[in-house]
Amino acid sequence: MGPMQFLRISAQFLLRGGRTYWAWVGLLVALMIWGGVAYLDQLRTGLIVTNMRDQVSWAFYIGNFTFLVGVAAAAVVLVIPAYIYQWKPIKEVALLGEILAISAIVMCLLFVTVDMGRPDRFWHLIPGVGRMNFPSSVLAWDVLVLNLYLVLNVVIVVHLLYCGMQGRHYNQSLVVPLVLFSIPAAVGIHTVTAFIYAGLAARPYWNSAILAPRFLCSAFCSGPAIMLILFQILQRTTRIAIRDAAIWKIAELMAYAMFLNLFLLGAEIFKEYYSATEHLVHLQYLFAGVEGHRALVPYAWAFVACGTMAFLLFLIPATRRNVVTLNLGCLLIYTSVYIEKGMGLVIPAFTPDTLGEIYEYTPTLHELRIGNAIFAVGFLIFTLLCKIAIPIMTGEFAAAATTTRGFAAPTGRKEEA
Amino acid sequence: MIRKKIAKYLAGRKYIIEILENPTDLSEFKERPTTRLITGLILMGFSYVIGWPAVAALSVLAVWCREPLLAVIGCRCCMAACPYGARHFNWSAPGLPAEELNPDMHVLGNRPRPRGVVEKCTFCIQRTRAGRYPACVEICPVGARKFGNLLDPESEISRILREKRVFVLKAELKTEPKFFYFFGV
Repeated sequence: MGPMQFLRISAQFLLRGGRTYWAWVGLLVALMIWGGVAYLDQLRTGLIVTNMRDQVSWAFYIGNFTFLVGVAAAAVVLVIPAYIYQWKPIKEVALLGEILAISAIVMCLLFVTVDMGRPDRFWHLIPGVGRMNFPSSVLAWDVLVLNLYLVLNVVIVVHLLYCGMQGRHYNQSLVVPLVLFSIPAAVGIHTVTAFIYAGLAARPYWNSAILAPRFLCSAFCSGPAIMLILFQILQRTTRIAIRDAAIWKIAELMAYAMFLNLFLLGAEIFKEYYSATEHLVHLQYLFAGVEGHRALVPYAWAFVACGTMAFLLFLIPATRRNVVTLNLGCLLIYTSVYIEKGMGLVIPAFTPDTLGEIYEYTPTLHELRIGNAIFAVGFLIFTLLCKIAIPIMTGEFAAAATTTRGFAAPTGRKEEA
Repeated sequence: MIRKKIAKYLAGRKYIIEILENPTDLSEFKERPTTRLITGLILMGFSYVIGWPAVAALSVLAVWCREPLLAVIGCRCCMAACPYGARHFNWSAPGLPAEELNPDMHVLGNRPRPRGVVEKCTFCIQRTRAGRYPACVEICPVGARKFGNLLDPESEISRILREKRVFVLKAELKTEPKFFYFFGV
């Protein structure tokens, strides 16, 4: 079976789907068009269509970027138990985690691109081609590790799918080193992203040593939260079998990560409020409002409440094994980290600005539309890759290959697990 | 006649305007000359022989080779890093009407720049290069602002820094700003 047949059968799987599948793809494409039109508008008139201004120069786009780097990094929550501890229930689904990482990284790169004032000069960020300010710019490092992580995951996923399609075991000497290397790379993407913020002495809200550890802890909650919900959807809509043991183990790991996340947040809050220096004003803007400006206050308390509730739900074994409370916990974690690592991280650092001026930022419809479109791209990539990967994982792919070519293909990738 | 026409046509092209707007980076001259630099110099010399359109053609080549343009990508990292709010982003295209523009411009100073890039105060380089004070110094009704050459020990500004009580904002960040505040008494 050559690459051409692989592509042909993949296309067949992509085109075969029920009404729900086509409605879902149609919705995503519609969102992409709606946001794409908004982006064209932004290209024509400039970033003035956003509500970002000199006082708040990074906002919605960069907040989403930060959150999604965390989602991408969270693939290691599956990779470590699967490939280091050889734990079978998770190894069966580790591929889905890598697919999620690919989708998330693509979304990250898109969010950075739409935030750029001169997207026509993006090629300066390509190593060797443009004038990348390496190694002194942390942003250059970030672009480098993000692309490295993307390439790593694409190579791993394509190799696993191709071997699974042929019914043979994947190449140990290729996959194992790459997977092991992807673990520090995943930690790296989030650490370097945190360093972009933490390295700025001008912004005391970010200039904190525990920012990178906080990023990692929240990433190991939010990414798996999305994964658990996607796993359950896939379990109902496809023939894939995901063992409950895998889901429970991931939920347990999330409880530890959420504890560390809340603990580090508390440490940060204590340090700022007890020492009560001038730098407190940013945290005050987030949690209490400053001079009547209270736009973020409800969101701030929402993320604390959601995070605490989710932590309790995941801590108690009975509630993390119950389908209803498990999913409720996942939604709460998603909400909590999305607020905390998105707007809650970026906006307070700029409000009030370095000269004390307060500019209250809320995203415009253009920003929301473009953000929606980028999420739609990510979901579409995930959907299409799953559409190919799941038949391979369940052995349907090999069956299809047998009927089209008439030779006996062994069953799929499940054997090697 | 035909040469003038070609020149006029090229000058109206978008990429030519782009090149004229973006000053070239001359840092390569400080390093050991590379093959590309030598080729560029030969071609530049050649362009003097055949006249203006060759320069335009070379500029097109420069766009293709993507070399002499400044790499301002509009990521706004420098704005997040600035402790003084000194940097400003062109959120939209500059909208000052032509009749209100100062025709006395400098390539590194007060010319209108494209949208999507960050800029900052240039201390009115178009005035200071001509031996005049920046506009804010000249217009100040009480003479509170001073401007001068820090490298010249005899200048007014050096004397002020020597003799007055002076401080800078956020000195603890060690950005060593050259914008000083002094007590008049």
